[in-house]
Amino acid sequence: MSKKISMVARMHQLLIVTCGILPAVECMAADLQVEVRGLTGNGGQINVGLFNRAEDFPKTVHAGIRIPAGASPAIGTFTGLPPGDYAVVAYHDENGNGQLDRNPFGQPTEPYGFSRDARGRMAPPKFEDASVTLGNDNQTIIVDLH
Amino acid sequence: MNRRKFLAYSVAAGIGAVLYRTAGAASADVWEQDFSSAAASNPYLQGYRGATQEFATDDIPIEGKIPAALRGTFYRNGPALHELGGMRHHHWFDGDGMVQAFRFSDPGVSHIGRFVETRKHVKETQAGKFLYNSYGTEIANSLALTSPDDVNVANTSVLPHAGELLALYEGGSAYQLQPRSLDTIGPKVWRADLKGMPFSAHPKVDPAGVMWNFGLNVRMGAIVLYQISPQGDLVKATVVQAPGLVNIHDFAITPRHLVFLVPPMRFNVDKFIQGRSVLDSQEWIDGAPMRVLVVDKADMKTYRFFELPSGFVFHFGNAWQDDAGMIRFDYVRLPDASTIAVDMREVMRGKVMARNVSETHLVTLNLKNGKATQERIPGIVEFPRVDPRVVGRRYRNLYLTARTTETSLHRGASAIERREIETGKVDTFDYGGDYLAEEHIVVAKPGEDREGAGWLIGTALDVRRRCTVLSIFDALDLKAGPIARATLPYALPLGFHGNFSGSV
Repeated sequence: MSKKISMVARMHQLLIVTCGILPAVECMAADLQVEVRGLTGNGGQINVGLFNRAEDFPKTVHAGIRIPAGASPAIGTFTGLPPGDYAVVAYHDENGNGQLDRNPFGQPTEPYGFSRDARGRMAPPKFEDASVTLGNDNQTIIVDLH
Repeated sequence: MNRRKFLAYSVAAGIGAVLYRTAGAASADVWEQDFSSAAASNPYLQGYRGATQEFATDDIPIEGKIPAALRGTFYRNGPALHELGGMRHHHWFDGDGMVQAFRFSDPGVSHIGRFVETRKHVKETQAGKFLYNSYGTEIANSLALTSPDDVNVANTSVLPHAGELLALYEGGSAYQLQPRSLDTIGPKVWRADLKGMPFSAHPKVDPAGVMWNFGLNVRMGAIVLYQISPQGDLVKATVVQAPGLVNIHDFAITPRHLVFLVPPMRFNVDKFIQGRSVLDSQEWIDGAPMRVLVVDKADMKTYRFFELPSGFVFHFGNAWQDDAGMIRFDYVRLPDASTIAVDMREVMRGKVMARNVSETHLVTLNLKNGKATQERIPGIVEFPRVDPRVVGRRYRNLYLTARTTETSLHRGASAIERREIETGKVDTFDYGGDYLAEEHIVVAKPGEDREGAGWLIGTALDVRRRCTVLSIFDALDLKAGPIARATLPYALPLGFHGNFSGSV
C-alpha cells in the first residue's frame, strides 16, 4: 500500500527533521502551550483564544482551543506558530454556550483571564500589555482565571 | 479564615476585644500623621480613626429596662478599616465595612462587630497594604480595577431580608453574611446573568415585604432596577438608561413609582481611565437643575423627569402618592457636592470643614403638568428614617439626627428628632455636646400596626468616655429620654446605616 503524504505534511516533516538535526537552521514554527489556572470545578469547558493582531484583540480570534474543565490547570497547545507577538484570552464557559457571558452592564459573569495577567480599567487590556513574543522556541504561558 | 477560631464571645470581665491584626507602618503616609496630630487635641475625631480589631461583648451593662417585646437584632454597618501598611484612606467612604450586631434577648443585650470579608479586604489585609484605588483614594501603583466588586468594601448599610443578611455598598454586589455569626458567605447573586451588577445601599421594603432596589453604572449612565419578593427571590430586573444619571445614592417608593434624585453632575470617563478615583472623575455642573426621575413600577421601564432647583442629596425619608395623584416625598438637601467631595475627604486627615447646610425639603410632583415644587424646612439634619409600616405610604413622623449647637470641632449631630410632617411639631432629644449621634431607626412593636407604636433605637459616640452607647426610646416621645441605654466597653468607628431583624 503506498502512503500518500500531502505536501504540507512533507514540509512539516522536513521542518521537524531539519530543526532536529541542524539547530543552526532557522525554524519557522513553534508551539505555545497555555496553562489555565484557577478553575473552580463548575463543569463546562475552558475556551482559549489566540490573537496575533492588536486590531482583532480581543474579539476576533486567530485560533481557538476547547479544553474540558477538569483539574486545574487546564493545558492546551497552539502548535506550529510563526514567530511574532501573541496574546491569549481564556474563560471558563461554565454553561457551555460557547461565549463569555456578561451581565447587562457588560461585566463578564464567568471567570476569565488574559496572558501576562493583563488587566484593563473596567475594559479589556491592550494587546501589547497581554502579548508575548514567540520566537523559534516553544513557550508555556500561564493564564489565571478571575 | 482561621482567625475566627480565636474570636472569644464571652470573657469573664464581660469585655471581649480580639486583636486580629496589628497596624504596621513601614513609612507613614502624611495623612496618618496629620490625622494623629489633630486627633490628639480633638476627641471628636476618634470616630474616624477606624478599627484594627473586631469586637464582642456578651452582656452589655444596661441602665433602665429593655422592653420585653423588643427582641431581635439591630444591625449597623460603616467604614471601619481606614489605615493599612502605613497608609490612610483619603475618604471616609473608603473604609472596609464592619457590621455591628446588637442582639436583644431575654438575658440582655450582646454585641459583636466583624469585618466583611470582601475580596478587597482579604487581598489587602493579606498583602498588608492597600492594593486598589478606592472611591475617594488614589494610591501609587493601584492594581487595575477590572470589575466594580474589586473595590467593593461592603460598608454602607446592612439589611436582613427573608432570613438572609446583606451588607451593602452601592458600587458593587450585596455581600451575604451569616445573620448570627456575621461570617461572610460571599457576593449575593440574584440571578446568574446579573452576577456583579451593583446593588445600592438603600433598598426599600414596602409594608408587604417586597424589596425594591437599584444599582447605578456611572460609566453607562444606567440604572438596574430590582424587584425582590418577601421570600428573597428576584421577581424582575430591568435596566433604565437615561441622560446624565450620576451620583444616585438613595431613592424612595410609592405604591406605583420609584423616585430618584439626580444631582447636576457628570462623570468624566477619560479622567477615570487615566487613573483618577471615581469621586475625582465626577464634575459638578453649575447652574443646572437637580432632576427627579420617576419610574413606573408597572413595567420598571417607563420614566419621566421633573426639575428642581440645583442641589445635592444623599438621603430620602419617604414618599407617597396623595388622593389628587401628586407624588410627595422628603429628602435632605445640600447646596452642592462639597460635603462628599471635600469634607468627607478632609476629615480623614483631621481637618474639620465648616458644616455644609443639610436641610429637609418637602417636594410635590404634579404628574399632570410635570412641575415639581419644594418647601424648605430649616434645621441642619441627616439620616432621615421612617417607621417601616409606612414606607411608600402617607406618613406622619420623620426621624432624623439634628445639629443643635455650633462647634468647629466636628460637623456632626448631638440630637435626634421626630418631626411631624403635617403639623411641623418637633420632638427632640439632645444627647449633649459630648456625643455624636448616629442614625436612629424605628422598630415596630410586634402586633401593632399604628405608626410610631414601638421604639426608636440608635447609637451615639460618647467622645469624653470614649465609648459607644445604644439607646432605646419610645418612638413617639423622644424628649422623655431613653427608656434604656446600653453602654459598650469600647468606642466603635462612626458608621452609616442599619436595620432591625425580629429574629434573634
